[in-house]
Amino acid sequence: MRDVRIRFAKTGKAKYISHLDLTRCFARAIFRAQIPLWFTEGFNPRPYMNFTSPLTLGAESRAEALDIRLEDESMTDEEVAARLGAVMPPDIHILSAAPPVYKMNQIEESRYRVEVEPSNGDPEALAEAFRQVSEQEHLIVEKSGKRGKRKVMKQIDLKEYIKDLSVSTEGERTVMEVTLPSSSQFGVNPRLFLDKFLSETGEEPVRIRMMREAMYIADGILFE
Amino acid sequence: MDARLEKILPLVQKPGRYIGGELNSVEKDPSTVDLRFAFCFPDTYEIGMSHLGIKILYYLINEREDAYCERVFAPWLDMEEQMRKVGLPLFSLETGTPLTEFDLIGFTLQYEMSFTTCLYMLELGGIPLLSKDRHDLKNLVVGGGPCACNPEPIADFFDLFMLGDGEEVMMDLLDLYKEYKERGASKEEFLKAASHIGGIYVPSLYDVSYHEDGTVEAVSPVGDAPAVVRKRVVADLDSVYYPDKFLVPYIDIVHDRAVEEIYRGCIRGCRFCQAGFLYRPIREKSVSTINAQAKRLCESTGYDEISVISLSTSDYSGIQPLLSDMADWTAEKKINISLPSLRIDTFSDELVEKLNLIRRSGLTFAPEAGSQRMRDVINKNITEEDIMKSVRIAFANNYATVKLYFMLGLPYETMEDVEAIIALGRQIVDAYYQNPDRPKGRNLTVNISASPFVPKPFTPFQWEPQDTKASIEEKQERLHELATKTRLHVSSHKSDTIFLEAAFARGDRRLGKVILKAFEKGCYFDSWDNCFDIDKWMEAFEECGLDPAFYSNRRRSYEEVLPWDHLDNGPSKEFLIRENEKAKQAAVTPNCREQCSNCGAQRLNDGKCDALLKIDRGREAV
Repeated sequence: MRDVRIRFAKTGKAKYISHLDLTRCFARAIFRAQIPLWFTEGFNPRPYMNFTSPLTLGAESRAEALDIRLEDESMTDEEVAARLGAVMPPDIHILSAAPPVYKMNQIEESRYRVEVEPSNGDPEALAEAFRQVSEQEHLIVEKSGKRGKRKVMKQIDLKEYIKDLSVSTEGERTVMEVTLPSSSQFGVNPRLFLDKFLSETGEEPVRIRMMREAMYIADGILFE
Repeated sequence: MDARLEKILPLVQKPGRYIGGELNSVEKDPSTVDLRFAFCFPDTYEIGMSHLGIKILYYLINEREDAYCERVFAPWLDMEEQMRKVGLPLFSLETGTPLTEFDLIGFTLQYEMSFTTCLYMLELGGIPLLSKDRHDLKNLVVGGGPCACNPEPIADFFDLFMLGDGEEVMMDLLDLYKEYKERGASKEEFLKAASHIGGIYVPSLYDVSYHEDGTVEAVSPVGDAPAVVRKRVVADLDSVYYPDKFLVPYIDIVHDRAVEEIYRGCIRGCRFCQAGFLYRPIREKSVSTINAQAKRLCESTGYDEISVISLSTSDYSGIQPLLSDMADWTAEKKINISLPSLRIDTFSDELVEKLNLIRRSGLTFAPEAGSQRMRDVINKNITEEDIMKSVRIAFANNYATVKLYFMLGLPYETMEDVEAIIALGRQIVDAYYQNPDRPKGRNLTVNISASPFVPKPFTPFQWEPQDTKASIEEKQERLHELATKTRLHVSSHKSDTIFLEAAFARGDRRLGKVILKAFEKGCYFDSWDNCFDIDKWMEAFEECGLDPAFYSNRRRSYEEVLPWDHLDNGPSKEFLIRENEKAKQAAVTPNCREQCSNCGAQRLNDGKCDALLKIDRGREAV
């Protein structure tokens, strides 16, 4: 028995696939790839799989991770990656397979790239407007959270969580890069971040794109 | 992806319904094909994607290098609102192409209440609804599936229908279309030629005249169109195309598993069941073909469940060897086999053990009627002893929930027959508590579901009136009144949809006006209770001067010209009359394997029927 960490990208149409659906999708892919997965013991055996915290629906990622447990240790990491890569749906790409270095629950934050195509065709102006928003003293947003088992809306100040924000332009697009918390305990999703900037500037963009670029553990160390 | 689509996807529920890109979906460059086919399912993605026929025909058409088949489903209401807001017309999942770009637009007609949803999809795609308003060969609207056996109510909207098995007639249709398209022929020329392909019915080439009382006087072919259109029958299921892969959706759908069809037709001849007659004659796949196809499907999809399907799975002549062959590889890969459509008289200890049915949600049986007299009227061919034996096996296997399906308002039914449903339920409850080995601390639940009966064409009951709403309600009340015994739960179908379903099932061409009017009033997704609006439908009938009761609640004479008499779906009228007469006497007909009743369907298959074949094989074995 040994654990393998699969890194994968979820782009294009796959951004509309929810976390639950993604779980089912991988279970079937591993089965098609004939990878000897270890099944949990008990009354209803299930294939052992452990994903990173869910990505918000509508966001893409180049840095997702999934741990699987192999029953048969003879299959190499390269073969796991190759076999899986050959059977995935078109918009999910296997990047690598390797022994896990850190634990999933060590992940603290993620780096996101958010692209906005403004309705007036002037990305420079929007970049300037975004910069001004980022300089406000507070950026209060409503975030759904839990009190006990009940779902409640909580107010948080985005200002406290935005790290290393850069605003630039690229062709017709205004681009923001930002690091936000994404631990299993607490996360700020890029949609919440972007929506605040859009509502503050009154922008109704033609197109948006959100991409998770990387995940980090404490002290800015890249998650592996 | 279209910018409008990207903009609205975050605003709708389950965007996964509208994006395509699933595993095993077919990608082609549309500019390299001669024919583009939009396969439309007039319901939501989750329902359409659960349907076997769409998977077979999708891959079959896409096997052709000259054609590209793409899927189109009916967007749910929230998506429709957003699409209209941004001006996005209905599009295909594979390439996001608007419906107007397709050569052929094909609908599968699985249930009558989806008729208006076909119109909804055409309208959302910007396609004129009436066949006569579409002048070009492009955007030809075609239909197939069980409701095409009597498509008269929707004849105004469709250019042609395909009757019977779709695999071969679809290829013939595409070949002809390609030839006429290349030649730049008109739609009229093409339709005339298509009417000579076996199984293709072009409704505009038939004139219907009516008597003063509203019954059909005659259906007359125009020009040289054939007087009778015969359904197509695939002769050999071992050699006919069956896909080696299935689309594997991302989102959860109704039936999310591999499906292997094992035979077509049914040997039973239950008189209420349209499918049992419509899919005759019997054609079986061999055990080795089924096993190989099933294995390939599981490998290409990664599904951990495979459903072995037919109209009555335990009647498959090779069911025992098939299950043991399949057990060899499914057990090792932790794949579950599910067997829907098991008959109550074939339920056995071995089957329970083999299928591990017990761990699954529920055991469901369909006695269909409460009294033996009524079961004989409908030719169900099961006895009370069969039922009691099966439930005792279920109880002995630690089972404490049983669901029983019944029908209400069957022809020749009396209140005593209805009361017998509850009597049977009580007997089952007693049998449970008489079992000394019953699991301790667990109480039995017997769920009784009673649905109103809808008479359908090509059954022995096609001449019989549907029970009236008042009578059905009285019977439902009686059931609830009698179900005083705890452990007995009665649920009855309350919806008005079945009365309309009855009208459309045996309707004529005049109903096209009503369907169009109802659609204009906002009726679509009629099979969804939260969308169905009986008042709008009744207004539509009234404004068209038609009465749904004329179609639903009227007894036809054997002499009356039925709206579908020019369509031959297999069983002969003489056979159906014989069966209806026997029903009146509560006389049963043996199943086809015991004795051929000469239903006539084998005519369409060069006289061959696998039910007959098995009799010979049985004799050899003796």
